Amino acid sequence: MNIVACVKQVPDTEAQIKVKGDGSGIEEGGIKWVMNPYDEYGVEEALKLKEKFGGEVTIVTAGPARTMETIRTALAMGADKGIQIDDPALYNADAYATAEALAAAIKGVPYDIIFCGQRAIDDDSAQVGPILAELLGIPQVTFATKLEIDGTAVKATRPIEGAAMVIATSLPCVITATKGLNEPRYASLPGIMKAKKKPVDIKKAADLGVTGASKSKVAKFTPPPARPPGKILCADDTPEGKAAELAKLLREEAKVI
Amino acid sequence: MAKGVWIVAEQRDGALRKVSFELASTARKLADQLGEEVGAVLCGSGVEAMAAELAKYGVDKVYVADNAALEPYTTDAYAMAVAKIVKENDPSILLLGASAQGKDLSASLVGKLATGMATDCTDVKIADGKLCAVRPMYAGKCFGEIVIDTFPQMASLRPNVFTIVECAKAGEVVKFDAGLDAAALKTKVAEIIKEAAGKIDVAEANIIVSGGRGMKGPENYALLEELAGLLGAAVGASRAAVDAGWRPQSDQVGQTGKVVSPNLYIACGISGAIQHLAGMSSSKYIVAINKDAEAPIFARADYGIVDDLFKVVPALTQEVKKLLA
Amino acid sequence: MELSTFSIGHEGREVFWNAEHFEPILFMLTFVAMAIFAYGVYRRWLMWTAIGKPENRTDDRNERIKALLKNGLLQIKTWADPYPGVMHGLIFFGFVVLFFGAAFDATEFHVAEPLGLPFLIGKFYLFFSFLMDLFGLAVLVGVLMALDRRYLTKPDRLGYKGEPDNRPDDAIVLLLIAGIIVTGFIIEALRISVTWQQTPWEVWSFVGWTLAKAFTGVSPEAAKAMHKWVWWTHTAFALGFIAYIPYSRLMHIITTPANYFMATRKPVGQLEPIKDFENAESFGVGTIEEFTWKQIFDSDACTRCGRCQDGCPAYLTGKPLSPKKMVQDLKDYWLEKAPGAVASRKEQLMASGEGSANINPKLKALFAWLDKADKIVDENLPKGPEPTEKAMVGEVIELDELWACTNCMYCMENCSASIEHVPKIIGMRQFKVLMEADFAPELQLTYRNMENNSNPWGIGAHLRADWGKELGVKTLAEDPNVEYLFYVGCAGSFDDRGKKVSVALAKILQTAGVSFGILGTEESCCGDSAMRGGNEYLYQTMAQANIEVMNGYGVKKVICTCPHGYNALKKDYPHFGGNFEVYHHTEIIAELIEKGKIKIKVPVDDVRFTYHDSCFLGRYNQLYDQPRRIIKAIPGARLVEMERNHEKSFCCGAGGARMWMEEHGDRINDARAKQAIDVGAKTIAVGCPFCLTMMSDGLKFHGKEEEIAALDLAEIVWKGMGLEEEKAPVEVCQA
Repeated sequence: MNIVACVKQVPDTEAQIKVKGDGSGIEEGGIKWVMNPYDEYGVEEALKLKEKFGGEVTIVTAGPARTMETIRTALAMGADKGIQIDDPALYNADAYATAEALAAAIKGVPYDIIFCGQRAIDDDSAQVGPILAELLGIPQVTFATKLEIDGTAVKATRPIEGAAMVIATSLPCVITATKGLNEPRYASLPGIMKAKKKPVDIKKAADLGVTGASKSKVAKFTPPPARPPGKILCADDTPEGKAAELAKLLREEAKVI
Repeated sequence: MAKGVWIVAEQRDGALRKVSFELASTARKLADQLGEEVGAVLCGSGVEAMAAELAKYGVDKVYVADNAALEPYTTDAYAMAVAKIVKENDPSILLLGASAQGKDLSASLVGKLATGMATDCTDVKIADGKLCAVRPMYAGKCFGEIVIDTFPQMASLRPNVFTIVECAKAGEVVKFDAGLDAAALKTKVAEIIKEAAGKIDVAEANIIVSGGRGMKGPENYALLEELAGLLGAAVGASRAAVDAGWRPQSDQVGQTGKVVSPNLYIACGISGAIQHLAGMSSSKYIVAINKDAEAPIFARADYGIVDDLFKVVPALTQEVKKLLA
Repeated sequence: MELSTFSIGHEGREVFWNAEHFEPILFMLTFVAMAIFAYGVYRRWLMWTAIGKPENRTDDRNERIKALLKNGLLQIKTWADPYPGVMHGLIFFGFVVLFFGAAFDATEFHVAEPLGLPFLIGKFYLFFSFLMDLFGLAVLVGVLMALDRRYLTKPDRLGYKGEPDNRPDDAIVLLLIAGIIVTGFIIEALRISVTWQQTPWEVWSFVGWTLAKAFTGVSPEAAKAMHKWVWWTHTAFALGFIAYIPYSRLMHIITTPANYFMATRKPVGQLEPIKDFENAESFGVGTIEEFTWKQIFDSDACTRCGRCQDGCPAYLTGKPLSPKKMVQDLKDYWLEKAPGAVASRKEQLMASGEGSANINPKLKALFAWLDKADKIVDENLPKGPEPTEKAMVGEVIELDELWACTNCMYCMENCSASIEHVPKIIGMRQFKVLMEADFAPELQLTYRNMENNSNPWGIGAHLRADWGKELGVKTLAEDPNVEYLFYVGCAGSFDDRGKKVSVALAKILQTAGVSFGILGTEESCCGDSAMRGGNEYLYQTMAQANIEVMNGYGVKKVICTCPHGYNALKKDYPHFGGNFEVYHHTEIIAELIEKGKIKIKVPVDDVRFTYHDSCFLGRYNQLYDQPRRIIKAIPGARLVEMERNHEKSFCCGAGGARMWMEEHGDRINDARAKQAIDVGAKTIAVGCPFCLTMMSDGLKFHGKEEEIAALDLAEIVWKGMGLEEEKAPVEVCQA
């Protein structure tokens, strides 16, 4: 089975995100870059399929030089080779342009199934996987928490509000992975050492016949409104009064219930 | 020239979902600023009657695709149908809900329509005649204002954020042929598994109601289960509660249990030692209910109640019941 | 010498009385016994040398000889436990004395008398007689104590989980020893019963003299006949004993002292780093061949005394790990694997011709002869169990055992055979983590957190210095000209509880005018948990990051609040070029108090303090005294010791990366908290953030968190200095 896993390098979930003074982006200094956690589920699932059906796992990513580290991480986990699309034209690309570049790269390798994370935790756009499927003209299942493959038949489970849907489709397809699909493995040390020697193809946009032109852009980055300090609720000194105040705040201020 | 502010209405099991009204109201507002019409795409089987309901919230035209293949929702059938009608009518703005279905459908549409989209927006406005969508990025650590150069300018709106405003319009029903090519439909729904409330896995829950040593005994978790049932939440536990044998290990939240990041984490009788905080501090909102005002959890809580949880939790359950009624 | 030559003033006896024409037979039997003994040792030697990687344990010879004399001859380690210490001491010293006695007898008969220089006469003879009987009796008492302990008292440590672990060998050895002594006394009694009238001084052989009365009615001829029989029985037992040594637990007479000699000379708990990650083919210990020969030899030095098990926190709280069982399981596995390894090594040597090239032809002939003997023995010996195809890590040593260890060092510190358990465990963990990446998911999370944010909780690394912002604590980047680097560590930087300790120490140092700075966000996790959890690669990454920053600032002296960082910086960082003078904050505080730089003024009213020894301070670094001195400096404080303290202290359960792993069943920290509650402590003083968390949790488990406080010594001291007003209770509602 030929498996492709798309990965993105993102700031660690705990990293401090500072918006540049002119609002044109975020300060990248001091950021610890990691593999997008949802992509890790994709890589892990890819490796599981390889273990079950044999074949090869190709890691595809778009990003600047530092992204190589993320490819090596996936290779250390057990993937076989990598493609890095490193072109300044794509550094701030939107989902469509990124998917176009990925699609062009993936067209050059044989594939039966393609994994993406359901979203990247930096831009949180949750679009690349589905656009990729459209561009390649193959079916997709997003937010998969479970995957079964039998021959070319695919069954994937994805949660919806208050229920879960089991989607049946067939290979080749795009699966976007989310938490629950698996527990990504920890790379072994021999794996880390071997990863340094595995082949990674570095490509420019022009090599792939794409321009990197985006459909949308972030016109301005702004820091989030200062989060109000925690409130101790005491509009009324009775438990009932406090509970009522809490329910109201959760509904109207936090908007979480 | 693209014209019109469109939404894709979301329905399930014969009823429109609340996010559809949020979309309609928001579209109305934008359309009024642009002086354009609001269109809604409604897909499903036997859904025409819902059109009138959309009209109440400001929809001028409802494009209805009534087709057995559109029930239940599948990505490719919906995307095919919506893309077809959108291409035919060329709206300038297309809004969807950032719900499970909306996120899935919208991204597919982006691919089909070769355009740009702002995902999970918390605000949308018109600036210089164009859509400006505001959305949290980096898990809310910054916000981005998105502008889209292609049409339709797409945005998915975060549910429960946009206000619903009644504004009756004609809601003219325009039926259209979804143009579904059975051969091109490659996905189908094999099964829908309904989850029993309270049985949601803490690792995947959007809301968690969690109890610690302060719960005093396993029997008292019924209080939390009732609240969780109402909120569609999972019930979690601190290590102390799991150690005491009150709750199963699978419910444990913390460094050595599950690491969770729900939208809302309600910690009841949990003091908040670092081992617990490490498992839940990335929750969007944290509520602490604890008798001990010195408990470290209050330093992390967005809302804290210093009181007896055995009085507060039942009262909160009643309040939530009222709100959801 | 004839009996008639002795008289009062020339007391003595006829050595080998009543034993005519015995010499050829005795010499022959002795030779046979010695040959069996030597052959047994030789076979064992082949097994010791057949498996395992090389390791030098003969350097630093003077110190090694000292250790051998101290623990071998003086039995220092054995004495540490009174009953078994006395028991073993009686047998050991009794045997040593009797051995010399037998040698004296032989020398007198075969050397001194023929030369006309008898020395077993007069007062010396009387003293000698008395001594022999006294020590013979001692051995007998020792054996009785051993029998009582093994078969009647049956302490758990001689078994495993309540099941006794007695083997036929244990009884045979004890009975053999008792037989030698009893027959010896009977011989003596029979001789005295015949000769007592001529040799009244034999009353000095007080046991024989007393026992002789039992033979009062026996005729001299009958007594002489009996004497002959018993004498040969005695001789058979004694020679049997010698021959039996290499085939039984008596082997420890050789292996245990050898282990004292070969015991590690490194500081307690220092681990040998993995050196070349790039080119090594495997990491850690996955097969028995990957242990060093010494690590395997250890298991042959084990006497199953169970001292290790007696204080093992994992074992005592019901976990499957017992250090004794682990060592024994490894020994059994080695015994299964060794014959095959010996055979293949012989083949190798034969094939290469190396083994014989430089050897003296006579020796060569001997080895060839031994090989033949080996073959005959191998063919005729009852076959041992077929070597199992069990995996060493996971089957011989189960994973639950492997991961239950807290690295508390109790086993190694208290082992009376200098066995090194902890490095074996870490070696096997390294195999699971580095080679197989197969270990607890919660530990994986911890490692990822360390990789991404350089702390085990995964809190944003940029927040590391926030605790000290309000105190005006400067980083070395701001001011590198300070005496001490305060290496804060992860708990002190990120854990709200630990931050209070950092704040207290910073205030103490500021008050005392000590010049110090921190690394701030340039500080990395010390890596102790990664190292002890088998992730040597991650540990070295972090250690190197710290060393680079510290050397960059020219750091000389370091203060740590966390004993794990303290121990790593002090003992393990030098491997990577990090050479610092490292102090624990209790050392600094004790000195500041003693120099009068700070004063604990606020008296407490007869409050019972207990001090919980952190393993990484106590057993690892012998810092037992300073923390206690600090408590004693508090006016009105009463220091009460828990039953398990100092070298025998009980771990809190957090060491060896256990802090980051789920603990199932009874918890170690709950057990330790109970011990503190039992001595009526009102304050449990600790010097370690992990211990602090564990003891606090333990107190909560027992519902005692309101009555008993767990506090770090820095907090206790800062409060006692009385320079800060008590904070008003938190305002709940600001109207």
